[in-house]
Amino acid sequence: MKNRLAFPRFVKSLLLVPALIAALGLLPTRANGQVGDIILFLRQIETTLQDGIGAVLGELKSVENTINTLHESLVWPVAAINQAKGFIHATANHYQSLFGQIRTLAVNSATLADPRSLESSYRGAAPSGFANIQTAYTQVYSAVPPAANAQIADRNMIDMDDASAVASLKAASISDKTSDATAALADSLEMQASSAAPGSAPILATQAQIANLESQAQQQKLWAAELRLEAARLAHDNALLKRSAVHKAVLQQQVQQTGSGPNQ
Amino acid sequence: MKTNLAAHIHNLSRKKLAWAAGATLLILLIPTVAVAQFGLDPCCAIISAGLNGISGLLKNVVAQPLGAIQQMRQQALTFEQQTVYPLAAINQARGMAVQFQAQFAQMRQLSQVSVVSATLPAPQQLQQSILSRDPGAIANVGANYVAVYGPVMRATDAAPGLRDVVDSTDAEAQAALKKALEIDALADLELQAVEQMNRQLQNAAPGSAAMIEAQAAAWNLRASAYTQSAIAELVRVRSIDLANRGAQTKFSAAHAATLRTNMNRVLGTPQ
Repeated sequence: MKNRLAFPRFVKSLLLVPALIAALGLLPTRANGQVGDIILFLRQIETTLQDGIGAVLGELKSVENTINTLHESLVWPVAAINQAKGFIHATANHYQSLFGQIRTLAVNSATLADPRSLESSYRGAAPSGFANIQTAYTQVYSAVPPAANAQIADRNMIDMDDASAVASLKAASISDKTSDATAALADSLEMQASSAAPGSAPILATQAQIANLESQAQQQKLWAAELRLEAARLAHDNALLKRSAVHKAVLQQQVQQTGSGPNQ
Repeated sequence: MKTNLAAHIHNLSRKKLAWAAGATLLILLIPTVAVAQFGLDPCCAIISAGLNGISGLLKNVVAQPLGAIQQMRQQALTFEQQTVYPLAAINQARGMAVQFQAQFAQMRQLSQVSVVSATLPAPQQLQQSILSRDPGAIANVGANYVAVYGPVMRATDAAPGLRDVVDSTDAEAQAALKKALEIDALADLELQAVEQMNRQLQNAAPGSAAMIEAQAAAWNLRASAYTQSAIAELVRVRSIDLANRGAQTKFSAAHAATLRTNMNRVLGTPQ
């Protein structure tokens, strides 16, 4: 009975051994492995911070510093900006004053009353003085002859010559006025440039380009007037040639008729 | 029940008890996973040193340069705001464009004031068409011109050479008048563009102003080309004028020679 009971106890004791081995197998080798991984991981973070992020940030700082130095010392140095402003201000004051003096010099040169009146009318204000131009012109160069005194062809040509001359005088008067206005725009642009910043200068430069286009258009108007004048002069000479040819043909006919008169 | 348990313990041998006590101690000494990672001193010291190192690196290697960069960016921003792109100067430049708008409009109106001055019907019509600034009026120039300056002589009234010269001269005079009309119309378009571009400039930024400037520069170039074509026409008018005078001298010489021959014939002088 004792032996029969002792066997299961022995078996129980034997079963404890593998249980102990299994427990030992699950022991803390795992803990040692995790510490190693953590150290490795921390070293990797350090390396990344030092060599990856730190180095890049260092370079970025250096580049940023170089760009700032470039902008402040080379591209937009405050000294150069102030020097440019001072230069613009000084030259503007100097030359604008000279231009002003030269442009206001009177060029009127007529000596007699009527020519003087004509000259002052076409050099005067446009377009308010335009009515005076016509009157003063007629006063100096006379009116178109009345129908009783000249043929219609002659009257037409005379009237066209006069009209071309007066129109051109008016165009020149308008041009004087727009030229004055353009010069005034240039003056104010220059003064504005003297207090401009590098960033606002492009706006002023654009403004100057636009004003330049305005001036070009006004010049074209003047060229067109010059073209009309030259064309009128050419047409006038040509009309005289035509008339001379016709007169010659008529004269020839009359001479022939006279030659082959009653004697023949 | 208590008696049974005590009896059962008593029945266990000393050896077995020793086995059980050893096993229990061993199990107690087993470091659990949690304790191994956070609780034990050596690990904690290593982690703490590592984290301190990282913190130092973050301060010295990352935070410090970032602070310096931020400072430099701030300095650059201040420089750009105060020296390069001061808002006051930009607004002043824009204000100038607003001020110029009225000047441009006034100049355009001035250039369109009528300068027609003819008094008789035919010259009036011719002048109205050549000063109309309307390219559509080019078609009327020929007829209006002939009404004032007359047509080419009939074949019976002039020699063919003279008729050719007269026709060529008329043609150039008319072409010049037509070109003047074209140039006037083109100039009007440019004046319109001036006002449009100037209006755009009033709201431009320093960056976009350069684009409008490029456009204005292109328009200036185009205007130069038109001016050039007007000057070329002027050169042609003057050339034809010179040619006309030369031709008249030639005709005079030819007439003088004919007259001399005829006189010699009449007087019977040997030629």
